[in-house]
Amino acid sequence: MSPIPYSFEPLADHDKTNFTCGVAELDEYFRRQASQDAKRKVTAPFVMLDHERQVVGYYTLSAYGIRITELPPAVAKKLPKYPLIPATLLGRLAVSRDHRGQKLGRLLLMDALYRSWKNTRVIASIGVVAEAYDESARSFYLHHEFVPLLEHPRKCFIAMGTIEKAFARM
Amino acid sequence: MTDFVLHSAEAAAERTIEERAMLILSARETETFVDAILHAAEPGPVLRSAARHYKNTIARQ
Repeated sequence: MSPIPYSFEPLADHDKTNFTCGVAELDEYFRRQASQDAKRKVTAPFVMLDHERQVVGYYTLSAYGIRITELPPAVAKKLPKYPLIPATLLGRLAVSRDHRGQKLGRLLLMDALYRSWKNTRVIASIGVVAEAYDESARSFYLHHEFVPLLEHPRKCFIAMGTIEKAFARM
Repeated sequence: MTDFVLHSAEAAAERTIEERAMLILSARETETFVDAILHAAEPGPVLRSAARHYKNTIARQ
């Protein structure tokens, strides 16, 4: 086996200064806000490191709720009567510009989904909502079998049941 | 500051937090969403191969 090329860790005192993905909003957030959010437990940022422990990507997870509108009684019976359905928000996902074309986004996304699924042992979540920063991010999620939410063009969804089926057989 | 101003600011802050912490779906979206959770799709070839690639690339535990 070749050495492990990448690893994932919760954001701690990693060097954030050199990270550039090309989307100003995502770079700004990572450099200025991510550590603070992590400290306050608002969001959980995770970093992807290469063998030299350089940050090559990051993503953020947080607790999320989905409020649904009136349902036909037959369907409503099958769902818990919670006003808010617990979910996981994949708020941001970014790959370093210097590491484009290596399909690292795919690994970042898989780590986010795998972690979200593992967390359901301790915190319930019916699925993952991804926030897409632009059209190419949206295509990326849809390509990975997320479902589009038509009136929220920046958001798409994947059911935890589907994630579980993808990882349970690993 | 008056109570009103304070309360308004508080309400606005709460609204912002609420919008960030929840997604309110339309009737049409609810249908898509409910269908996705009640009949969780089998992972297709892209998701399956991405999960496999992840397993082979990232050592766990």
